[in-house]
Amino acid sequence: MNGTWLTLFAVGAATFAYRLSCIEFGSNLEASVLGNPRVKRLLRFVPPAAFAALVAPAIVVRDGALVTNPLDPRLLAALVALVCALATRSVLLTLTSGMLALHAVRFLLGG
Amino acid sequence: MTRWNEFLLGVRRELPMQLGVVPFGMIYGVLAVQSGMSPLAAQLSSSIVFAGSAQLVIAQMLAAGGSPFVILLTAIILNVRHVLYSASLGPHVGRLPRRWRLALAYLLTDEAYAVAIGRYVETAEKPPQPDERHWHFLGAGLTLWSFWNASTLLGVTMGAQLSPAWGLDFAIPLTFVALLVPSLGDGPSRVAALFGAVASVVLVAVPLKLGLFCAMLVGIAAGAMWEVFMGGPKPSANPEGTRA
Repeated sequence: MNGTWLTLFAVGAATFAYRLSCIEFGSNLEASVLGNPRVKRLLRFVPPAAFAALVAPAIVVRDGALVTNPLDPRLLAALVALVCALATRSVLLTLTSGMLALHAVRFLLGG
Repeated sequence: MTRWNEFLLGVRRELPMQLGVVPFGMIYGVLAVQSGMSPLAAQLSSSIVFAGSAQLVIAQMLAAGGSPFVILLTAIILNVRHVLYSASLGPHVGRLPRRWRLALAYLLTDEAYAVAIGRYVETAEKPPQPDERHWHFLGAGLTLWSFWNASTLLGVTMGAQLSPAWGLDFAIPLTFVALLVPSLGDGPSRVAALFGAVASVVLVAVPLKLGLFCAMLVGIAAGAMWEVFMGGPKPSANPEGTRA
């Protein structure tokens, strides 16, 4: 077994341990930590904070610098997708409108 | 809802996200092989690690001659956000039999988390009887696993024919835009999202992508503080309805 496989199994085990951590001890933790109303309140903010943090840099940061051009194709496409998401709540329509907008803007601006 | 109905609903809600997952899986497969991983290792990484960004980092660092220890360190920091997902879902699935806990933990990715937590939140007021929502989680997780592995295979076999000009990598953030919107139900949630977004941009240069995890913590703290300062938690429903 060489270094590549060793690395894969080590990272795999660590990732699985993360995912299992609070699930495995959930019933014990619930009585103490996870069942605490304050902790529950904090956990309520995991989805909005996590999804926003995953999205923002991918849209407004390119090659390590902030995107300042307001006509940037990805910026405009993300706005179109956001409006579509607000209006339709559909993952499918959000994705297609965003991708179509990206290529439309690139085509129009000759990017 | 029966188990089977919950399972199918989970599959159905996970499916649209595959528009973002499939290009990502293909890009990963192409890059992993290009960076010198054996096709078998590149493919099995999608089952062993099963976390896209960590897999990409492993492939790129192996190509750059990074030591296994540094790669491990990088990947475990990159994936630390999964502890938050685990904490978020723990109260819902922690009482299930062990085989369920192991299976669901293995399937707990960004995209599966989104669908699973969505189901628990939408039915929080009136949990279904009997509670078979873990089948919903399983359906979402297995769907993602299947598409991720199939698209990896596609990428590994098609090599360099995928054009970056298609901008397919952009589908990933778009997926999370779609997931973000329903989570913005009330004021504090919007504050959490706003601070999470700003912090992740400010912290983008922090090494090892540690900034991403810190930004999530900043967002969570900001939402909680806003709630406290604005007079304590409102009853879970938001008065204006579900629109953000």
